Amino acid sequence: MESSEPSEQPGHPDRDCVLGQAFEEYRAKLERMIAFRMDPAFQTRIEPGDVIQESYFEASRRFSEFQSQSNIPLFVWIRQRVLQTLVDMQRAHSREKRSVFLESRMPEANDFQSTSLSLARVLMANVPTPSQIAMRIEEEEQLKLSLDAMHETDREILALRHFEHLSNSETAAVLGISPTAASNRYVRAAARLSEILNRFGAK
Amino acid sequence: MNETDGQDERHPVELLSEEFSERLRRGESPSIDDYVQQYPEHSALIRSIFPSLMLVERVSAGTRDSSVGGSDRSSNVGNGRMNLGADRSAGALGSELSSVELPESFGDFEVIRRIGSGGMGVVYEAIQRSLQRHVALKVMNAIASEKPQNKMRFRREAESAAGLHHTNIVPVFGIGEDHGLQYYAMQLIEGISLHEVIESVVGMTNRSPQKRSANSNNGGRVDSVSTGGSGSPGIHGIGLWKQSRGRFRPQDAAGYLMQDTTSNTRRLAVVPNASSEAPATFADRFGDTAQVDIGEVTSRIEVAVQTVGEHEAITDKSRAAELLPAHYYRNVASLIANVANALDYAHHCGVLHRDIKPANLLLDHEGTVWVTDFGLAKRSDTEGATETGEVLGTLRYMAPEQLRGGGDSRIDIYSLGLTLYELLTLQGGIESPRARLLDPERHSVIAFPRALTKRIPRDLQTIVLKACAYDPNSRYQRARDLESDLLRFLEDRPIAARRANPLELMVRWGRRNPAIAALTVATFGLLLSLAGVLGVWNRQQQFSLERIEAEKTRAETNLVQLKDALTRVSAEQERAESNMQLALEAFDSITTNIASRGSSIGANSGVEDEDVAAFEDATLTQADVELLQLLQDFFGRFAEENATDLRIESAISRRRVGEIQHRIGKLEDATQTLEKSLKEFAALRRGDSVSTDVLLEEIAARQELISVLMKRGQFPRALNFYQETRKFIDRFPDARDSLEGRFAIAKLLNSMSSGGARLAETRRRRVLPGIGAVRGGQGVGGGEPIQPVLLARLNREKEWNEEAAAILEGLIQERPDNSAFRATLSRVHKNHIHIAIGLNDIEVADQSFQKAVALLEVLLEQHPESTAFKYELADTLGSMVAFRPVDEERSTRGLDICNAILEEHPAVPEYQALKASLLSRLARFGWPMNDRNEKAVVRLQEAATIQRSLVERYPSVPIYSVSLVQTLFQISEVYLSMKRPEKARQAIAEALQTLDRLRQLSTSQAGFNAILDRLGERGKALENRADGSP
Repeated sequence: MESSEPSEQPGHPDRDCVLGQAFEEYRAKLERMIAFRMDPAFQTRIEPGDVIQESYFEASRRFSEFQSQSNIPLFVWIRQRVLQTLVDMQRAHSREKRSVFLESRMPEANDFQSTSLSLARVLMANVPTPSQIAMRIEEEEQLKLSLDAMHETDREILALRHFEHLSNSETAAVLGISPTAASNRYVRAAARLSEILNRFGAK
Repeated sequence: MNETDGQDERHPVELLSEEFSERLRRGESPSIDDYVQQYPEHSALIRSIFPSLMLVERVSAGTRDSSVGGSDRSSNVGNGRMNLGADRSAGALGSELSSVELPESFGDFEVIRRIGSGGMGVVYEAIQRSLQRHVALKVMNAIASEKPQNKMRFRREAESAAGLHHTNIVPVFGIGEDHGLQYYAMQLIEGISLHEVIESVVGMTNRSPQKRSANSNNGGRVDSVSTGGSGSPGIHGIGLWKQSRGRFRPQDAAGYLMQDTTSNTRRLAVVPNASSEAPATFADRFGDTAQVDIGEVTSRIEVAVQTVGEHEAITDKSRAAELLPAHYYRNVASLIANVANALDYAHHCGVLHRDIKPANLLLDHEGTVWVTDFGLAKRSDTEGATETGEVLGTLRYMAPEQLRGGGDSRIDIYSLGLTLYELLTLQGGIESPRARLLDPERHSVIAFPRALTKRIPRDLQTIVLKACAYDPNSRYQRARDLESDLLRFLEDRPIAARRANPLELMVRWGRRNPAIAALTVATFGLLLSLAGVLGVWNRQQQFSLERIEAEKTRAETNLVQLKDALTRVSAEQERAESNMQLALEAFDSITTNIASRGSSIGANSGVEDEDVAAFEDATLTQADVELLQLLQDFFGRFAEENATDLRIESAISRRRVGEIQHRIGKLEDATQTLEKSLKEFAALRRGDSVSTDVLLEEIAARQELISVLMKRGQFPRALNFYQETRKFIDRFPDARDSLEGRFAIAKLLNSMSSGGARLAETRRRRVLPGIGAVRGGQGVGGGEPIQPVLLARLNREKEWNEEAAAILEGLIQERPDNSAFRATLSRVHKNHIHIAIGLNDIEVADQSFQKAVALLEVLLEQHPESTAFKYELADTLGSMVAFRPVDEERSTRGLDICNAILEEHPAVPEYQALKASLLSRLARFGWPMNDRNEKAVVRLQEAATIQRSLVERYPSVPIYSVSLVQTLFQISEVYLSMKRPEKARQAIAEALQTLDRLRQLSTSQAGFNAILDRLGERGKALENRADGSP
């Protein structure tokens, strides 16, 4: 729906211009994704803006890769670059200063991409007021458990739609399936989630 | 709704889910049942899925708030606008009174209903039996009545008001006492207070189209309530309006203020008594047209609102102010002129109002304004009756001397000025009324109305500023003077408050003399442009004078007027020329001055926090900002007025506006202005072949935009634009290879490389404990690994910086005597010190340091008197302590130079700030060794003393406060290492206090959150330590 790609085709001579515009255009979505996927342990040390800047350079350098994979939409490719940069930066940070993590476990690099872990972290994050805490914790705990119990692709599709706010076609492109398949899959995943939630609720 | 996404089929429930989720994100609460009913074929799925979606979206929204949403702390600052004053307290009194059983009549008056409350009592609508007329009856509060002091005041009020007879003052019919309550009767005015009118004007921008169509059915229509024979136009004693559906409502009054009343009659615009027209009712004059006009105004506003933001409801008063039509300002001016006339009359009768404010001014349906509630008036000749020091009235509108219990008739002028301010800007001029009691001087300064919206006519701003001058002697001395100036404004004559700018005079002249202006319209355009740039465009002047000559011979019938016009115009030309020159000089000296101040103190004061990036140019005093805003106006108007005739000047002027906006921290505005200026430059290029001069001006504009983008953290955009600019320059090889072109490129590179260097250092230091001070004993190179992001960035900056250095070295070789090249190169080297430190390359840092110093030494040899170069040298010498802690001798040389500068210019705050900065930098490398602690403390205390006095002198300049905070933090560190936690805690407490005060005062957007966090942490750590140790 809103996934309009910049009109320039890959192979446009002024790649920086295309990229720069795309980065500005997607900035909000990318920042949302970074906030969602980043390990909270790094939140004080890694700025979302830094990740975006650095991935911009990466993207600019490796633009030819994108051009050769002509079937991938620009947004999906940029999202991959940003995600990869985030992983690299977290990895570099954790190597640099282990002491930060003395109190917590060392996350594996792959964790950063794992939706269920991200969700779990999100769920552990702030809750508005003390009076709501009990209810919210229960609610969020339920959601976390339910999502954990789901198939990985189902979980991912819900995360992309509801946590990264991607459209159906963007989600389809990220997962490499057709929009029709993504649409059907989404409904299935949502129904499945409801089912599991009900089960937990009944318990 | 069921549209498919391109050619692909989508599951209908997925489409519905998408819509449902988006509505949740927008804050709506869509009903699941509605969906079920609308799509019964999917009811099962919807019922199963949608509740889960609500849960997921709720959790997701929580993430967004906690991780993406900015700092709450800063957004709360400065929001403490209080609703305080007589309205509220009177309301409280009123409810007390209403709880007392109220008699049905007072003397001759039969109470009908309560209208409102004000002053010390409640106002009722009543009928005077003997005369069978409706009146407003003000009854003094039963409790207040008991105090003899209040009783006296009430009588005095009534007496003084009863003695006044003026078209714009509500007449008082009589005074009495009944049931132990005092009352007085006055004419019942069918009017809306200006307070309500203002609220309604703001509210108008929020009206939705549906509501509007409902409103416009009777919008502006008022049942005629005129008794016809009342004789005095504008007075309607009998108000039947309260039952009638077409009663006069605030929105009618607001709509009325937005009409073009001048095209009907100039009623509003003339002194009331001077009106010789037959009285006409509001309905007669505006009945039908008013409907159209109000509708038009509203739809105009709505269109504007829609363009401003689709989903955003515009409640913001300042946005509402942006949408006011031009007539509004004229109508407001004439209203206030009438009030001023009334006040002048009252003052002549020895009566002060003492409580002029929008709530006490009523606008009736004829457009007549009424001053009501001389509730606090006291007769000038019975001064002693009120106890001194008594503060009554509404704090928000009181003159400063009134707050202290004094004041003469000029306090009413001040309050009326503030009322005008509020009508123009739709917001109060005084931010924190209660704070005024403590410190009237600081809290009585009002902001420039035009800083809030440029739509406000400049002359009205001048009038407001004069009426609200802090010093009564600087105000209009008589209300009549204020009135005259407002009338001058309405008649397009120059106001007396100051001499109007020549450009304006000419524009006005054109408006006042439309016949001649129309005749010479082409000529006039040229003349206008001439006024600005005579010195530059002699040829054009010649040309236009020839054309005037031609027009002159042709316009035989108007010869006389034309001649007159010409003499005036040529007189204006001369003035305009000098004016423009003055403005340019002022601008240049200010910007260069500020540029050097900002860069050196901000860069090297030891302030290394990302918060600081927001105010690195913030050595501006309030006066600087005001001056710059004036200049911004000047250039902005110049650019607008000359957009067609003098396109080059216009583009350059616009760039200057952008530069000013940059300096005063309005980065978004600056971006827009600079982009506009670049469009103008691009249009120029398309026209004729570009001269190198114009090209260089354009490059300067591009460089400015890059700096702004860097400062806004929009690095990709800045980089793009930089690359685009380099390509652009390459298209003009001649210009590129010229000296100026190469210099421009070097500056371009410098703005790319200096933006991030400091930030890089900051981020790096964030890893270290403490507020960012490099620990002297270790210096850098302690084997601290560099973050990969920073490494990449620093390397890029290094490349740019090296390219800049190479270009500048070439330029210096060609022109060894050009000091600008050398000075820039020294800055590039200084910048390189920071980059090299960031890269842990001490050797390179050292080399850059040597080079920068050497360059400055040469410059100083050539210009031994230049304070600027001395300043640079001292500052550069001081920067070495960051990486070479041993060489104290050379560092103290910086201090010596600084002392020498201060001997010549002891009072200049920038130089004092530099000294403090050098002292604290020197202290930094001294302290870890035990025997140097005392020395460090001495230096730091000296620095803190200087900084404290700077903070005291310039409480609103952020950099001074922040520097003091830094120093205090250092002091705490030294004391800690000396095992004196009590002293350390004291320093932290003072730091927190300083920061707190700054946060209250500063208008800057900087949140100071990082600094605060660190201070808080340190404070806590100290508490713990103190608890732990005996």
